[in-house]
Amino acid sequence: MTLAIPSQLAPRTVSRALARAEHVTGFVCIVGAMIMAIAFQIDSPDARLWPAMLALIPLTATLILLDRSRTLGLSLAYLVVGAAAVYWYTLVFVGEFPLRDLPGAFVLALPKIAVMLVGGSGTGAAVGLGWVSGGFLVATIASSAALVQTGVAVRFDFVTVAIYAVAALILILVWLDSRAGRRARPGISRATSEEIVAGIRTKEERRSTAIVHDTILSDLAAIAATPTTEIPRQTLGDIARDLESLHSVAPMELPAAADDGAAWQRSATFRAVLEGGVGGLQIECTGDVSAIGRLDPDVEGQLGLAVRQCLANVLKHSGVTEAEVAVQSSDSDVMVMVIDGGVGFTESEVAADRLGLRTSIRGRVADVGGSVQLWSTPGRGTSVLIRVPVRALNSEAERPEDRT
Amino acid sequence: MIERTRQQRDPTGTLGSNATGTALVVIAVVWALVVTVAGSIDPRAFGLQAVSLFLLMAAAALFVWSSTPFRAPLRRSSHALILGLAVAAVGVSAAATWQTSDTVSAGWASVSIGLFIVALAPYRPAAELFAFSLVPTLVIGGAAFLRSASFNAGTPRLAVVVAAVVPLVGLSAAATRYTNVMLVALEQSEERAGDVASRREDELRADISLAVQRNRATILGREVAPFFERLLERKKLTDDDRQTARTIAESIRDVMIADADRSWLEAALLDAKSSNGVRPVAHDPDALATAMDPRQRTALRALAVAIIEEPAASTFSIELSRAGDMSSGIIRARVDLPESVAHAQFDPFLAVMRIVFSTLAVEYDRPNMIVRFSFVLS
Repeated sequence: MTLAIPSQLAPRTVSRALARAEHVTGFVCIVGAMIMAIAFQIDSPDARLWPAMLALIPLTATLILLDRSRTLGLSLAYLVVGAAAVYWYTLVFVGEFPLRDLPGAFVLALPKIAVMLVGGSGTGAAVGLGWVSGGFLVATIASSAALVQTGVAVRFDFVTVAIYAVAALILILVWLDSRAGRRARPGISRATSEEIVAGIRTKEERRSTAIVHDTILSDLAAIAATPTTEIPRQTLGDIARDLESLHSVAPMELPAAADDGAAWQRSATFRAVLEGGVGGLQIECTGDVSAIGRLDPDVEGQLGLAVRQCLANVLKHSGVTEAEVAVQSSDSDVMVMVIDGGVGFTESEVAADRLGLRTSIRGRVADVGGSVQLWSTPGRGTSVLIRVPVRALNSEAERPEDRT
Repeated sequence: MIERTRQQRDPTGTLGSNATGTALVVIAVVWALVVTVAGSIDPRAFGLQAVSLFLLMAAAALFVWSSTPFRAPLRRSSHALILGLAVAAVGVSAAATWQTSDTVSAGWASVSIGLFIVALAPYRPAAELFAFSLVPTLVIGGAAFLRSASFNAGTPRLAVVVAAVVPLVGLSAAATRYTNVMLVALEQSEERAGDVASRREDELRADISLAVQRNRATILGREVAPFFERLLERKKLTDDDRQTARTIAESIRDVMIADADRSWLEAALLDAKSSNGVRPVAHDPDALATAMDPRQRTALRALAVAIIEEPAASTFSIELSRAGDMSSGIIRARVDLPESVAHAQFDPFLAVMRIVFSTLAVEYDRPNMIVRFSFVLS
């Protein structure tokens, strides 16, 4: 969601909005003039006012066309048709009724106001004011010509002049209003762009940190913990893979296992369980494991990596070799719980070593719109509930970036 | 909750609406005053006419008070109260002249109320503007219809009603449509911006990913790569190697924890380019800034950058703290500018902040500037 119409679009948008506002007001005036004519016709059945009503039809049609397509040609056409309509409407009305009987000269003013509010083509305050002034002049001249032709003295039309003044004033004020935010627009636009970049950068940094944690840091820990002088073949393979990643210009990726079988068996979560088994854990998978197949590949990939880290934590820290991976789902989420009956811990007391939990579990899951809850009691074991949405987030720019 | 109003959806585009609206309601009051003074012929009605004008002035004052950017957003209740006072003014004026042939209320009511609705347009949804405008339309039209039986002989009653309500209907329709067109344009602009951002994200992601990878590889390559290469070559481990592995792991972990501890706020401040050597300080130990929504983060970033990049600024700090289910923030800056210049420089950004944060308070005692704001922790 933005906080401003882009600067380059603002003047055009304001012009279009003002023109459409003028058109709808013009339409109200035409409808008002039509109702006036009908009311007078009903009140004086002998009068012939239908030609006045007829004059308003082409004016309405041209106004509708102009509202749909605000071109110079249609703007000029509206003035021409408007002049003819005002002339004819005035001629008919004044021919049938003495001017003094018409309420506040409003009957004759309404079509003139409609023509004045031409809302013509172009952009800018001066252009808008020019069209209103042009419309006012055209309508006044047409109306005066009709009065002269019927032998009625041309009088000062207070209503039309007052409405012209109000319309001109509103146009000027709206344009001044639209300029007030100019100073802030570039700053807001820049902040919006920087937010997008910051969102991507944060996510990439977190992804990179999580991978470094899961690869290089894990391998360094394995080296430090190797009791023999021989480096195990698995560790050598991992070191070679890490070196290859470090020398590569492509972003680091975790190695993928071969795909085969059903959705669950193809999933990264299943691979995490297998890797945990290879590492020495006895893992029981319970619940609706097929629900994993409902996840988007990206979400499922991140879930698998988070589960892998949970199982690595069980292996490293829990002091037990059994764990349970329970899968449940709802309409909107898939929940995976990793449970062990080990030594447990107090999260706040492992602050210095919380990187795995922060980046490899919480950070990853947050990136795909999920959440992590952790329950652990010293001596009673640990449960980690990972909840991920069935539908992936469209844009991380819409989410607060959780760096913790 | 963000309403579909121009003030809340396009805060920068409506920064000047308060001045514009003030001009319009002043014109509405002056118009009513002129018509009342010029048109009243019954001295017995002067008292009620004065009450009517007072109510209209109260409506104008309430509009001016509630439409300032620093009291944003203008809510439906304020809209109802402003329009209610204005309609009451019309009602009192009509009652004052009900038994006479004065046409005072008919002379100003429609135009003045219409101007109030135009003034209110930036602040309320189009549908609400239209719905609320029906009340004065019915009041003015009804009064004209009832009075026309006695005082408009020779003119059809329907024509009298049309003459009474057309200015109001025309101005209301204009306000409603202008608001709607602007909001649709804003929504289309958002949609286009979303598409562009999405395409740009894809382009940026590859570059940023590569830059992050190179940065990590540089950090890791200094120690890890030579160590791993030695191990691969020897395929043997010594106690020194185990100790080296622990030391390297510890140093990498420290760097990564420092990175992970750097909050969004600190990262955002680093994007500002001070020409005056301002070193922004962020204190957000609980990473509360992460609970801000995208509009709040954008508005805060824009204000922070505007202050830090102001050549007259010398210090900038921001602190976030928890207060129940809210987070309160305080910005302290030294900006040595005349007050009027400081207002011109920062008020647009502060007005946007006022829209997107729950509360906002600003103090400027040259050169010290303090901005307090709060937001809900989700």
